[in-house]
Amino acid sequence: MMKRLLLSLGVVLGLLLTACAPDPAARTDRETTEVTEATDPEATEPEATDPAETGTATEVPAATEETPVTDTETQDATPTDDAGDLADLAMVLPGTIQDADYNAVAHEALQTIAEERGIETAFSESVAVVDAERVAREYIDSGFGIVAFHGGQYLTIGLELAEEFPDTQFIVESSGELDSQPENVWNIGRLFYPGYYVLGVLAAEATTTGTVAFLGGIDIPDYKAGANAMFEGARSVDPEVELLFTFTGDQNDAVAGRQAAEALINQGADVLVLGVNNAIYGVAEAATSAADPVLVTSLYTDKRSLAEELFLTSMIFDFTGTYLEVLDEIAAGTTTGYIEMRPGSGVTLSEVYNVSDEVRSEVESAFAAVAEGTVEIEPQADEVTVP
Amino acid sequence: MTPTDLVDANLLRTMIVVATPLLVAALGELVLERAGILNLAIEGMVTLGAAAAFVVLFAMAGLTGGVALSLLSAATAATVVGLVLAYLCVGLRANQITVGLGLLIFSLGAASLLYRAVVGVTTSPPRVPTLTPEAVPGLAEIPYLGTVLFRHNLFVYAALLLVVPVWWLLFRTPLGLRIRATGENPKSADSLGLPVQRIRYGAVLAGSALIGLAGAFFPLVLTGGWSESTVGGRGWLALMLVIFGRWRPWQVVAGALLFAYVDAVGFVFAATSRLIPVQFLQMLPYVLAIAVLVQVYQRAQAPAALAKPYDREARY
Repeated sequence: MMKRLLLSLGVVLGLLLTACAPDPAARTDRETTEVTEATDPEATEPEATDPAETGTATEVPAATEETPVTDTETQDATPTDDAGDLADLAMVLPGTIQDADYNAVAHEALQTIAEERGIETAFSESVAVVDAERVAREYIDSGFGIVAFHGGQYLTIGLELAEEFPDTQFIVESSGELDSQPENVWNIGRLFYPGYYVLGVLAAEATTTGTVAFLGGIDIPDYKAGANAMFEGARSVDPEVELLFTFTGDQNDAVAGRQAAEALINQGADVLVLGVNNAIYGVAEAATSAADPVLVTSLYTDKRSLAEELFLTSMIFDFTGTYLEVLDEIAAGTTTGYIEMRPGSGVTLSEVYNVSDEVRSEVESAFAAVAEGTVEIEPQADEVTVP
Repeated sequence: MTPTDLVDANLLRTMIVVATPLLVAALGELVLERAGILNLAIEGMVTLGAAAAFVVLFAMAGLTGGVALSLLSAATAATVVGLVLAYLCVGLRANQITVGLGLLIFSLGAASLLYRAVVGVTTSPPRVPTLTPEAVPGLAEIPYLGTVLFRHNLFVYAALLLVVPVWWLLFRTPLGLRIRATGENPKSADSLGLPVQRIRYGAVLAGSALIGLAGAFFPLVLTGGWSESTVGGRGWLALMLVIFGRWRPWQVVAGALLFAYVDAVGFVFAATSRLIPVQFLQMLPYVLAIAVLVQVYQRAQAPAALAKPYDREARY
């Protein structure tokens, strides 16, 4: 009887250990990828065609967003550029790097940083907010001199740790400039709304039904401001265009995305401007199943592969370039500052598909106007209002 | 939003599609629970089934038999987890809640690992073709009803009809009586010569296969893709539906359809009306579930031996 109980306990523990990857600092057998072995990017990124479309086969233990599990991978690299006094960099990620979205582009940035700046990089995936402080402390204890938090949900934690560890450099991401920040913090402000203005212009140009919609996940200020800016952009093209919006409550729930998209399509929308991440799978399915063509946009990466005939464009955030810029500043001795990601600075549109050359040209003009500041958009983040 | 929107054909059609994986997973769980095994790993098993179905179809892109193999993989993946569950809970008589939660975490991790092993890390999201809806000849043209009922793919029809064999098996066959007996009073069943352990093993494996097939529904019918959030808690809803349906197949069907309807109406409200805050609409199905469960559970007839390990040597 006792033997069976012990065996049972052992199997359960084994299962749990299999599922739970070790913590970064506690881990002594950290997996190491020698980036120097892959000096030819094609060797590890056979599908790479542009900065937003790379495919790698880096094997990392899996984790899920539902569990407070963290996975770690470090990348050592021989410098191909002068690293100066740059310390090693660790990044805290909210999801898995296989998401082909927000976390995948961060992973891509880390690979480039390791290769081009010759520093060791590490990351932890699917870090819940409650675990982020512990994970960051473990990285600091392990000797990482730069800790980056990829996600606005970690902002407070990053700022608090910065006060406690003045010799460590922190990089946080937020929605804009902070009132104050410690001297060892770089703040990356991700502005969505200027890009959404341009997507609004595109939506109004592309619609044939005269109804366009914003489909968001969580109704946080970033996406509320995005929806309002999109409406402003659409009305700048066609003051009569019908505007709809909805939020599903989840950035990644594809079934909810599909249901929300079908509800909008049934209301006559034939262009869906998205403020969701992996929920786009369901939206793409709703668009392809619709009786009449429905066009969609995406965020972070070019997701044309989901629905080639129905894909308009994607708002691409170039985290690689932005992080390299911040690291260069740090290497030069500037330990604090603010860098903004917006059209013209780290935010671009991928190629615009499924519209005429004329529309494409008008969208490019609108993008240039926003980037140059000739069109100014006031962020309205309190609530979404159809003008 | 008008009252006619509440009975819109497209809304009801979506309701059926969204209810189907809930229904299949809940029927699988029902078979397990009727045999006295509580499966708290259901969310993980559905997610693993979804991942297995996706990666197989992705790897077999364009090859014939891909869908069949995809379904088989989903059922097999969940059945393997079910086998571990059965071995630990039936064979070793371990605590079913502890084992279930352990296997939940394992399954979620395994699903993610499987996806990464096959698809890898990419910034170009992969997608598999979803099953094409089949219009039932003659019936699909019926106004309104044709859209609601007769324009689905074969998987949806099969899933909806699945309730018949499950009900028949459990309530109209000697085997069903034996399964229910092992869930109600395994000692009595044992004393009558029924192989309690074998029956429980069989019920767990069969139920797990259904739960895995429910997972396959997500990439093959609903989304065409897979991510860690694809299932999004719907495995837990299936678990709830078994209680909601008072461990009876037809009531489980009604519960799945009701839940999917309220869910779908919430999205229509959110897209058309600003009178109700979106957060309230999002929680509406769960509020309904709690309200109904409070009523239902008072008269619920859970299998008496549910979640209780059976040891024929033990004195009760």
